[in-house]
Amino acid sequence: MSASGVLRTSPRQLGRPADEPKPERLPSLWRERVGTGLWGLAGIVVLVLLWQVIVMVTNQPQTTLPSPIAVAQSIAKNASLLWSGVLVTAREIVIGFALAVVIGNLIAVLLSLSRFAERLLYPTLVLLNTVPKVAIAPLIIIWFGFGPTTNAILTLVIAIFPVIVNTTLGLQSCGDDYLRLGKAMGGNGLRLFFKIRVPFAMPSILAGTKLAMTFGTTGAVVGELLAGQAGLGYVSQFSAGQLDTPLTFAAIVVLSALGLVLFYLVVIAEYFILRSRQPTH
Amino acid sequence: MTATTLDPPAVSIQNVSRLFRTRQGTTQALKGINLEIADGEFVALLGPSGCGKSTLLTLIAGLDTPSSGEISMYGTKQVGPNTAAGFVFQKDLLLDWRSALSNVLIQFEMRGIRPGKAEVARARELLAMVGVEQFADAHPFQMSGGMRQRVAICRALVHDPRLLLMDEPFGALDAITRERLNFELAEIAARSKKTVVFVTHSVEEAVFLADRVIVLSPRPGVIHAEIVIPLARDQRGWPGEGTPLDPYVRQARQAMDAIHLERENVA
Repeated sequence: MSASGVLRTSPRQLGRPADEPKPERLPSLWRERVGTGLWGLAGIVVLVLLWQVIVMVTNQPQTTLPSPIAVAQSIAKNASLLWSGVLVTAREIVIGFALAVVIGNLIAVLLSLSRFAERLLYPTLVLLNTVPKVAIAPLIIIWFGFGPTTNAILTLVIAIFPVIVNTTLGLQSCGDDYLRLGKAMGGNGLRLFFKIRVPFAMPSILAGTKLAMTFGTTGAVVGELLAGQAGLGYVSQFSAGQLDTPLTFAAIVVLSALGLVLFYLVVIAEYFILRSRQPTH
Repeated sequence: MTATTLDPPAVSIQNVSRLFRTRQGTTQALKGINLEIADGEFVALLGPSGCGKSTLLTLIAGLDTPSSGEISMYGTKQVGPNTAAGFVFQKDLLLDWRSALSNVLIQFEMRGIRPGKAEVARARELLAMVGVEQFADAHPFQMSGGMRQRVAICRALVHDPRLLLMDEPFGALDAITRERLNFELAEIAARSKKTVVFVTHSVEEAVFLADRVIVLSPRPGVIHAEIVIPLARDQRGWPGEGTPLDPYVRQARQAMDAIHLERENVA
């Protein structure tokens, strides 16, 4: 987990030169942002077929590499177990993620309010971001015990950094001339912040939110693997211990699906928030 | 344009200097500027780059403070941003996420006024005046540079300021659009009787638009010449050989040439 959230620069482009204009049709952001997922789905289908072929050709035992069909059967057989796992894990992820977004954005806003605080604390945060956060999982377990609270907190700890970093960068992305204009129009600090700086930061804030969701999923699962008594990570852990490899695979597949659904919820939210804007490329 | 002596001038600049401290030392951007602008007057600040014309406008706008001297607006000393004025900068500074109409209305929102029917009607009226009413719901990236700058002008006028401050507003536009916008601006200024301070480095633009052209020379920025253009709006065409404005263009150009010569001699 050494990936950092510092991936995004301002996506803003200068206005393109144009002659007398015709109202240009909005390129479909929906297709661009969401529709491309369909191709990804096709890729997954190909991968599954390949997997089936490999299992058939190499004739692996089920305990090493079960076929997709065996995994599907395991999913069907253990549906209620997996579903209760989904509920536990999803709850941990959503709580940890929501806390990360709220607290992370608050910290970023506080940092942006004071140049001094930003200079003092931002480098520390970037440094902390490079700490492999999974490594502090044992500490969280010591402090909060075994169970969903620990897993949600792990999610929070891992997910909060990309939020802080991206929102802080986003809030810096607003050009001084826009703030000058806002001041000239009589804008006070609050109005400049909410009507100019925050909208400017929005693409960056959403990029951080997406990263937070991806990272956060990992956090909850790590917690469950280490100290879980329920949840999909726990299912994959104990089934592997019992050499029920199809169930381990089943848990991983369901977990991936859960991660995908949660991620796409954020992508859809992003689509609705940014849809009236210029596409970034 | 005449102002009765009883009225305080729209803008009064008294002995204003502005120093900038840089790593290389101190630069005197403006030195001892004295200028009075009457209500309803259109004044162009003309000069080569670095002459302090934009600095002077920024001071009038109250976005910067003079190192010495004083600026008053309609008799009131200037402290802090001059929110009673309207601004147009070289960049249109439209907000990408807002429609043209909404970009105009931000003027009210920044003042803490929630735009109601009257404000929206006023904004639409202005958009229609500059001929972009059909773009009211379009976003900036769907508009050309000229359209965008027209919207920026509407934003500067929507709260009906007495004073309009423009910092090379057409500098980033192509020649044809620029000329057309100059005609439109001349008409707007004449019809609305606004006091306008207009910064430019184009001699034609300055002479075409202004009642009075102030030529500034650089380092330190001082007033080098003042050219009064007594021609009425309808007697003016775009300046060119043999047109009524031609003599004033020559006068302004001579002043600009003199500045360049001085600089070369110094160097």
